[in-house]
Amino acid sequence: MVNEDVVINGTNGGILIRLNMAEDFNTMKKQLIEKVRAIDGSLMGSSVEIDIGKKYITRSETAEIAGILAERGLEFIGILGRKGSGPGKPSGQNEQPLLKIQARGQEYKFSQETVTIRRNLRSGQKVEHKGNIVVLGDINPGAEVVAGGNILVMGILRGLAHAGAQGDIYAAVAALRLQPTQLRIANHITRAPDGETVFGGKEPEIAHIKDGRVVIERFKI
Amino acid sequence: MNGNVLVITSGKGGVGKTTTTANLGTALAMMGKRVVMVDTDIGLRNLDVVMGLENRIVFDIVDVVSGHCKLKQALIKDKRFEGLYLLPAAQTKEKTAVSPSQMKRLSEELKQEYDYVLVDCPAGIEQGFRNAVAGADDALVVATPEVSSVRDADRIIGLLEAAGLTRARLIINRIRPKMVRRGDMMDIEDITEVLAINLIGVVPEDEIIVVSTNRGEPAVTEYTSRAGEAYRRVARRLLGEEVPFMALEYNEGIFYKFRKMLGMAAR
Amino acid sequence: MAIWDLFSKLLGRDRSSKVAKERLRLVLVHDRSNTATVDVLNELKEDLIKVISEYMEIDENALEVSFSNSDNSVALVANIPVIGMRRAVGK
Repeated sequence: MVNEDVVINGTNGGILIRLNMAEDFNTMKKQLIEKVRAIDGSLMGSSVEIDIGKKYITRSETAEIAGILAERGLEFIGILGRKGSGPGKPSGQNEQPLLKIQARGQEYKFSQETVTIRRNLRSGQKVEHKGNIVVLGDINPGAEVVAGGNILVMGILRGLAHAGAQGDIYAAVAALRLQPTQLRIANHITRAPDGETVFGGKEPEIAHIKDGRVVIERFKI
Repeated sequence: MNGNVLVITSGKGGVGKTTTTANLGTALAMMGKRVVMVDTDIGLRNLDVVMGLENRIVFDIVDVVSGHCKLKQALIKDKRFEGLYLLPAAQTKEKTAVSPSQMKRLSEELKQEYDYVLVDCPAGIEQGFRNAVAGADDALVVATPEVSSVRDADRIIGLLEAAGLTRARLIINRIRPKMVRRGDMMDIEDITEVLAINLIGVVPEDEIIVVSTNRGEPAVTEYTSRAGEAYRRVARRLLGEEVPFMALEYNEGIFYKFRKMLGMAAR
Repeated sequence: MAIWDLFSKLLGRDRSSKVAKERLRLVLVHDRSNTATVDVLNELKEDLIKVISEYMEIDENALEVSFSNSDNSVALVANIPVIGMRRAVGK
């Protein structure tokens, strides 16, 4: 019975996850994490829609769900609701439901949202998200972070980071230690020059495109 | 041009498949051959790091077989040797992202352009192994002088035969002449006798391998390295030359000779 | 070498490479019997039935042929229930 709060289905071209928002969000979240982890790896990169039925969802809950999906390499593209759902009483605490729930078939674009990853990303792990990505941890060699927007790493970036993956040349990558294997911004690709294993220094730095080149500068906070 | 697709495999992990691939690929390129090394260990790629090319990867083997990019875009040119290329494995995908039939097609395409296609096989006997073997014309089996490794090599030889690769040749890696001499390591005859396949190389344990892996420069480029010399000989044998096997003597200098005179050499 | 051999004898144990080779031999007999030899065993079974049936009546369905591993050897074990002797074994 418990497991029926989260139902994952394949659709043509993506994945549809039905959530029982009547259930306590944290209980449901646990199930969601479990089920999302069990999703076959070949589906990585698929787009996911969330069906919340006639219930409500808050912005922070939505962001959490997007984060869970991103950790498995799934792209959250929208929330679906059924007739009768709309703004009203929030499902959880005193938070107002800020997301406008739209009728089935219409996507809610989530592009400018930020997901937060609160762990280290290890070799073989990949996080992709249309908006910004904040990593509270390190990105090890062999791990990849691909964002439509900016990437902020509160830790050491040793793996691969791609900001502005959809072509946004104003995107930036910032890290407390910027020592990536490879750095990409929009269509630009850079790496450490031969002979140097590490680029970047010992202080926070930010990489962005200036005059058509990727430049790395001290990140003054 | 029609090249040779060689799969380098072992069954057991950690016996030196990737090191062997990197060194043979480099040695063949040093001899003027056009070589491409293919890393099929999807999810656990390593050949790029051993070759020191990890920061140049943009596309990988999965991108190629799925049509995400052209083959030429994914091939990484070696920084030292002309005619040496690497097709890296994907790191963030699963083994099932490539199928044996896709590997076969890829091998066919690569051998039009290159003299040697060296396929670095993942450990194990599952899909990764089946992929690596799919397009191969020949196989090199790497084993270390340990019971577990030789046993796995035997299993692999059986599977290779079942896949039609009946001429597999053996590389004995990480042999320690000192231990062999005092009877604490199986020697070459012990191993070839059990496995009953042709030997193509004997590579001694060599600290320079660790150093060269640290640096991302294969040991064959290091002329003082005994393992490097052994790999250069394997490469020459691949080209059909008759090359004697290296004497597995340990150059222990004057003390050794002195002790030998006193009949204490076995120590 | 001689010194080590003497040493080993004194300690009453073989050099480990010999031990390794022996263990390897046994494990490979077992491995190979598990995989490739299934067909061989079936053929052997049929041949056994053919030959033995000339001399005695056996329960073909209960016949069992397998490899058995003990500490340091591998044996071929056949269990063949005899139902009765053939009367005329005239050759």
